[in-house]
Amino acid sequence: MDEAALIKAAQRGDAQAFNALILSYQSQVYNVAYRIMGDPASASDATQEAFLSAYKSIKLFRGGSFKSWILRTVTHACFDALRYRKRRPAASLDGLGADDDAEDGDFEAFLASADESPADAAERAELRDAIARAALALPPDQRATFVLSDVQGMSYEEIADIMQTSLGTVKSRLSRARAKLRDYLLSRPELLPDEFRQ
Amino acid sequence: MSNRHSSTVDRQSDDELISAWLDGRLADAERVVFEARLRAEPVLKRRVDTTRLLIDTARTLPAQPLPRDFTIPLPVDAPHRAPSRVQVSPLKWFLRVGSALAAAVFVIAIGLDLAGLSARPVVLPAPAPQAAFVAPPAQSEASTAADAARVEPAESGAAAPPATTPQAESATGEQSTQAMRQAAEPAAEAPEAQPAPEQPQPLVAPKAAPQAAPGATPQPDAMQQTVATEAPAPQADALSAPLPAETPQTPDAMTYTGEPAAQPDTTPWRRIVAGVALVLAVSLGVLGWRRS
Repeated sequence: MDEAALIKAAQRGDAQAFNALILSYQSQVYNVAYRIMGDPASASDATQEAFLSAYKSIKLFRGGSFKSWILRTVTHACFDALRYRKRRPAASLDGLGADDDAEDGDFEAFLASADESPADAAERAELRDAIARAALALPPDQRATFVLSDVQGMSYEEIADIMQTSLGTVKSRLSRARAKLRDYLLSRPELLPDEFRQ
Repeated sequence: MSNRHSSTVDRQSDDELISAWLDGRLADAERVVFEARLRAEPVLKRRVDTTRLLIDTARTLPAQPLPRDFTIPLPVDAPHRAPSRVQVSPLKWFLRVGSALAAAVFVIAIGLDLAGLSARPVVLPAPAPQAAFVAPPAQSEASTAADAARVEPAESGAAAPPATTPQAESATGEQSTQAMRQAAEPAAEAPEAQPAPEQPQPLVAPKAAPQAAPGATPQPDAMQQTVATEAPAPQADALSAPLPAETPQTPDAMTYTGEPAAQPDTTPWRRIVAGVALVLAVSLGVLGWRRS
């Protein structure tokens, strides 16, 4: 059953069809939430909230890209969670586990990479970790734009559709996010490869 | 100040150009100008290279494994959710039905007992049964009239309950007593008390009672006559007058027409039935509950 048929079935109340849609997008949705929220627990909550919200409002879906629609939902859920976190700052013990997960992921990436030397792979993993951490310091709208564009590889148009803004705003937010992260990396030359050090 | 502001604007403009150039979003003319600057400005080139490294590295950020499945739990099918019919054993069914029936019998018995108590008529003392005895038709008109005079006040006092009419309310025990006194007086005074005793038929209490009770018109006259002819004899003498002795005591002449026929008192039986039903209801109910 193709996506359009699944969407129509879900709009008729077929939860199984909606679950098929979830299975298609849950990995991407969760990863977007994870890169925006920064820890697995918050990302899981935002993803769950997004899917529940989408399930309740699936009848309001009027066509277009379901992927953009569901990513918009999870982005809004993340923004809501970030606003709540800003109002009530609290240290999360779940963040400690996030480091372990990131290291596990890096280790898997290290094993999968056969072209790099172990030293280069370690440096690259360290750079990825630094970029991921630095991205969490960006303003939420710039962070989401950076995640959607440079992590998820989406086009400006898709990002504009997801974030319900103009192409110019997407370009502006993305250039600012990239500039801040670049400046951060330039201020930490030890993170950069040898050819970038001066 | 203006130089710093212009440099900041230029920096932002350069950042947008870098980002757009890296994404291939610059128009041809802008792209040519920008690429010329790259060749001439090493600082700009370094920014571009670092930004490209950033983008390339960000795109290799590993995907995080899902902590759990986010699919929505499907509702269980209705037939599986519906509780299966409970099979009731015959013994349990008997205990339940028996308990219910015994409880119903108990309630009915108690209800009948309470209804019997509330509907039981108020029985006034002695006069009513005495007035119910009427003379046989073979007697003379005078004696018949005397009997009529004897009966009517007594009937109005005995048959009419105190709460029927305002007139009847005055016919209390005192009136009954006076009627008894009047009945105990000689028969010669009776024609004065009852002016039209032309009916030769004997008065029958059940027929006379409805006539006396609803209208109650003869009552004032009877009261006046009773007061006027009140005997100086003490009340105890009048009450103790041997009224039954004045009338023939033959079984044929005696007709009891006052109170309805005396029925056997079933209250003890009702209470026994109620008690047995209560015991049955409780015991069967407890047995049924313990077996479930």
